[in-house]
This record gives sequence, structure tokens and C-alpha cells, in this order.
Amino acid sequence: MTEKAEPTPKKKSKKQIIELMAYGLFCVATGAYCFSEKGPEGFSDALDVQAHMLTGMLPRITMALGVASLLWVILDADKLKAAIQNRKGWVKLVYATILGAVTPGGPSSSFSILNLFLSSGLGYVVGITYITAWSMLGVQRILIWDIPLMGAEQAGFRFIASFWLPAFAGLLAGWIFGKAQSASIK
Amino acid sequence: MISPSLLILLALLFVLGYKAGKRGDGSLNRAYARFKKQMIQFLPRMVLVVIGTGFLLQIIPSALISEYLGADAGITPIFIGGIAGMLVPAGPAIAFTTAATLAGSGAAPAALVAFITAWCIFAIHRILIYEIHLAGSKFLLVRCTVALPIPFIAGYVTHLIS
Repeated sequence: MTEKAEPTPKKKSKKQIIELMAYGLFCVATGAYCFSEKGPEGFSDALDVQAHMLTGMLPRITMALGVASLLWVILDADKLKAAIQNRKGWVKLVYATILGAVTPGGPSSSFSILNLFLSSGLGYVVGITYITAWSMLGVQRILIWDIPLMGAEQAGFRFIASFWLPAFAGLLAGWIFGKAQSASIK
Repeated sequence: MISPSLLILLALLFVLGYKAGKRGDGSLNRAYARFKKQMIQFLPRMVLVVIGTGFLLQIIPSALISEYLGADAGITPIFIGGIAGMLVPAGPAIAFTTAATLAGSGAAPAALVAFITAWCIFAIHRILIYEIHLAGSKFLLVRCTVALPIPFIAGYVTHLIS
């Protein structure tokens, strides 16, 4: 669910502090610029908009993180991997899409699964379908970010417009780079 | 009033909570521990990003956003959204909050879909940290080539259905 790697706690906390300081600086810079451009009234209007956005988002974010945490506990990445390895033909692409969408954890787990697919000879078609589905249709990303921030309708538009695109990307890779499928990973 | 998205999340929370509780193996406790960790990680970022982009919104004239990213601008917003999404070198907090603030200023759904999809596929931090090392540069090249039209296709399909 998270976009973060799993470095040592010390490195992680240092990185988080730097990141938060950067966000803080962004707020101060935009706030100062807003005040100088729009005056106290514009600054106050901006604060009202922010307060409105935050009160709307907080309950949704809280619930979405709860859902994502439960999914993280319930879903089993090893079982999901085994499911795709046992399929053939286009069904494999459907499974790769579904597996990509439901893979729990952040990029560390999804890219490890991708590495396993490529090294076990599943090929670029499945690999590209899987990782594209994970990045575009990841259920945890949709639940934590898409629905709470963009709303169900906008999230629905994105899902309907793109659920078929990971398999399309995989097939396109097979068509254009057919030879690359049998190539080694690196 | 409870929004549909809140209802979906609430329903999922109950169903998954029930499933985890039924296991009886401490799944609920592990989920709660993860939830607390994630809240501590995400909440400060979320608040700061909302504050920063809220000020930005006040500065950028909404007429400008409507002109270049609004529904009346045809398919141009899809290209602008897609290219802008590829250039966002940050995590989901910034990408999605930026999209949400643009949505509040009148950006078209198609532009937002192109923006988010492009960010999802081409997030540079993910490519540099994970993809090059775990999948190799050849795979990266193939993936980026075939994925290049995807944000624009997704945006265009949204343009047709929205």
C-alpha cells in the first residue's frame, strides 16, 4: 500500500523527517506567496478551503487506511503467485491483471513478484501486464487515494477507462518486442 | 450527509473486519498495528500537502485551469494532464492531492484520469528505486515504450464516457 521501501528504521526516520520538512517548506512558501499576492483576505479564503478539504478527507482516509490494513493481513501474496503460474494463454493475462490489482504491500513486494515472474520464465507479456495492473489498478491505491480524494465517480471513470489496458500493454509488448520475451531479465 | 465513497469504505471495513476477526489468529490485532503505523506515516503528509496546494489554488486563477484543463477545452487537457502526470517526481500524497485540487478548480475528468494514470505508470521514484534493480533496464525500456500511450487512451476513453 505504501510507496516506501523497507530501509533500516534510522534511515527511514531520517528520510521521513526530511520529507516532512520539504512539505512544510512547500506550505510556508506557498502561504507566503499567497499572502503577498492576495493579501489577508485571500490568505483567509485559502485557509477556509483547506479546512473544508481536510474535514471532508479525514474520515475517508481513516477508513481507507483501515480497509487497506485489513487487506494487507488477509491477502496472501504467495497464494496469488501460485495462481498465475498455473494458468495458460489469455487467462494468464486476466490472472496477471487481477493479481497486479490485489497484490498487497508496496513496490517492494510487487517488484519482487515481478522479478520472480521474469526469472521463472513467465516472460515480458505477463510481467508487463502484472506490473502495469499493479501500478494503475492497485486496489489499495484506489481505496486509500483514489476514492477518498477524487470521489467514487472519478475513481469509477478511471477504473472503467483503464481496467483492460494492462493486458493491452502486455500484448503490445509481445507484438512489438516478441523476441524480448525470451530474453534474460537484465 | 454520507457520500457514496464513504459508504463503500464503511461496507468494506465491516466485511473485511468480520473476515479477519473470524480467523481468530490475531489478524485483527496485526491489521490495527499496521493501521496505526500507516496513519502516523500518512496523516502529517496529507495535512501539509492539502495546506500547500490550498494556497496554490488561491494563487492560480481558476479561469486558467478551466481554459487548459476544463471539459470545454476538448482533448487538449488529456495531453496536458498525461504529460504533467509523467513529470510528477513524488509519491501518491502529492499526486492525488494535486489532482483533487485541480478537480476542485474545474479540471475535466478525462484530464484527471490521464494525469493520475501517467503518474501511476511512470512514477520516477519507483522506477529508480525498484524497477531498474529488480526488473532490469531492458524490461524498463520495453514497459515504458508500450505504456506510453496508456494515459492518453485512458483519458480519451474517459472523455467519451464522462
